[in-house]
Amino acid sequence: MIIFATQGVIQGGWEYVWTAYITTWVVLAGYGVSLWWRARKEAR
Amino acid sequence: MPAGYIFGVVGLFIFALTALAATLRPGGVRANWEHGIGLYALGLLVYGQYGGLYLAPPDTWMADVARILYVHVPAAWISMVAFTWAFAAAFGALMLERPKSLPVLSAATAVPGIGLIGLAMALTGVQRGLAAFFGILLILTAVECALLWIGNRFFNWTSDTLDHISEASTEVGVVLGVLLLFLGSVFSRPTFNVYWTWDPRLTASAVMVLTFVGVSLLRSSVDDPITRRTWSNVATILAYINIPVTYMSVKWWRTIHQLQSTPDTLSSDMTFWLRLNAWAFLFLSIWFVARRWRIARARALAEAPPELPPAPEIP
Repeated sequence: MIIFATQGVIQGGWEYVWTAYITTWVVLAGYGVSLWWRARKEAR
Repeated sequence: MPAGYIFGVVGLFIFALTALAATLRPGGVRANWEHGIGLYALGLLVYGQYGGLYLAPPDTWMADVARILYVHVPAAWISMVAFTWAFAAAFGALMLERPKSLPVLSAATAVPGIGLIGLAMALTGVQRGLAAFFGILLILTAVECALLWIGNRFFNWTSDTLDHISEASTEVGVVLGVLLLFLGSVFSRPTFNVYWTWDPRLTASAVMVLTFVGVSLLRSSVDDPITRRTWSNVATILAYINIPVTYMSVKWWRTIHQLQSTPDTLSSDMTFWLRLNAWAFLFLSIWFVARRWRIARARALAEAPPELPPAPEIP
């Protein structure tokens, strides 16, 4: 089992990479927008 | 100096310069001074994410999947940094309720702290580690008390100022913590063949995020401002106890989650892109906390009772 694990290289996986990066941008941008929106609401 | 640090030094310089210029400006603090560091963070983030996706080398065994680590690891580090800000600010908010005691407290913690550091040098093994840990803790407490005293005396810091920073940092830490858990889950599927398992590190991270969600809920559920400030700051300090446990969990109870990598176990290219993204997350978090702090301050001003008219003079 250990020999098998150390000989294997993960193939592909770009769909997971894109999911991670897109989610990061969506969360960070979404939080930034929420701060801007809440600041505007408080300023009124 | 390693190349990854230069971006951090530049960012810290921008932050220090804009913050200092805003604080010392005649006529009060300039609004929106934090946008400089926010723009710098955005530039670093775009460059860092591009590098993580296309310029960093693939890992020997995990190949391209390892690129997820350029967002997962910075989210983990900076969520813990944000919770540390929340903890330090919560402690400061409680201490500033009695600002006159700060010089005495600073001296009373510095002296045994220096003594414990000296003792640690003479000890070995676990005893040395414990003496050094508590020594550093006491010295950090002394430094924070001294800074709080300076802030209170010269820059008009109050318990509310620090309370708003704690509130803002907790929220930013929770956002990054939720992102950390999601990214860890996405990374875990192609590498460990599971989205989630009750590994000690994963469980401790989930508990860390949930406890700070609890602190935010407590803050939003108490109406009286003074009670809310005290309760939520005490809860923040209690919630922070889990952070060192979360950090050390991979060493103490290792199962599926890997040990912390070091520059010795990574190629220099990988270390560079990891550091760059970590700086981007750090400076973006500073911007988030500053923006969220303004909202907390505006809300506190809105809920403050109106000032009473001056009492009529008694003839």
